Amino acid sequence: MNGDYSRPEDLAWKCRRCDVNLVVGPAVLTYMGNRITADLPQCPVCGFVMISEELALGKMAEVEQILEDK
Amino acid sequence: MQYDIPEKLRAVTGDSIRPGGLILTERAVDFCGFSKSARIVDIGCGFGTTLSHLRHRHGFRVCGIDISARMLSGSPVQTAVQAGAENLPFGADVFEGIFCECVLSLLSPPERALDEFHRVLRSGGYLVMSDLYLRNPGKRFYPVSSCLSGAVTKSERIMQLSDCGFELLLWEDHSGYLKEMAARIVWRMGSREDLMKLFFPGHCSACDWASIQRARPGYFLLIARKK
Repeated sequence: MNGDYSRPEDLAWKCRRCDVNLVVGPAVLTYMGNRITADLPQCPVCGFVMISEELALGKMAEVEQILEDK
Repeated sequence: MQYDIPEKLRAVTGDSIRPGGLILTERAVDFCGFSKSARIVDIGCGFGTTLSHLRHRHGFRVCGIDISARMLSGSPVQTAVQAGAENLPFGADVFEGIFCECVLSLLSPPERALDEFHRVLRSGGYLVMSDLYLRNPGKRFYPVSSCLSGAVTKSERIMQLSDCGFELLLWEDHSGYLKEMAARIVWRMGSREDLMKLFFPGHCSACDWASIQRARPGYFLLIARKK
């Protein structure tokens, strides 16, 4: 299940280690044994994925809570 | 009862539209050990995912019913007809197996459908059911039509089955699949509020997230045999 979770401003970032612009590509997020695939900004060289604060504190936090519910 | 699956939900779950998808279907087939020529009916067959799987993977003689003409029109299996679970268009003692996946909790009262399942099953035939259940007993608080409206506790479901002439052979908790599906819907759609709107269309003041959490919805697979 892909979905594009990048914002135009995310692509203005550069990977500090590789010194290249981020691109949007598929990333696999795993939490408590569950896998979700999403298109996220990442470095095309080393694959380092950038998660925006908005995503981390918003939707990602809600999903984590659901998976943590007993 | 009329219903249609929202396209947004279908986009997340695929055509099986239920927690666990075909994994639980396959688990049940393994358990029941149907013969190659077994006649199987899928109640609420929707887009025909289970029917197609049972026919092509196992070679069973399958047919299905669903109340939604729109969903049936997308079914790849031609032996699916529009009908309600409470009034099955089949004779008595016809099937070796009935699959009822994530459907019974939409029916009210469920006993009418269970009586029909008992009628069309051969003696010793298997009823395969997966559905929502409430892991905390207590007051029902879902006045609007949704899968949760008809969800009951494990003991209530087993009692209904027994009253309708079935012997329980297997009960497995698969709540992890429900959680995974909820997480995927929130991830895809944006928030828990979007998830709530999907399952409780229209205003429902009693259907807040905390109330649902208190009921601890879970998901089960059960297999019962006609006595």
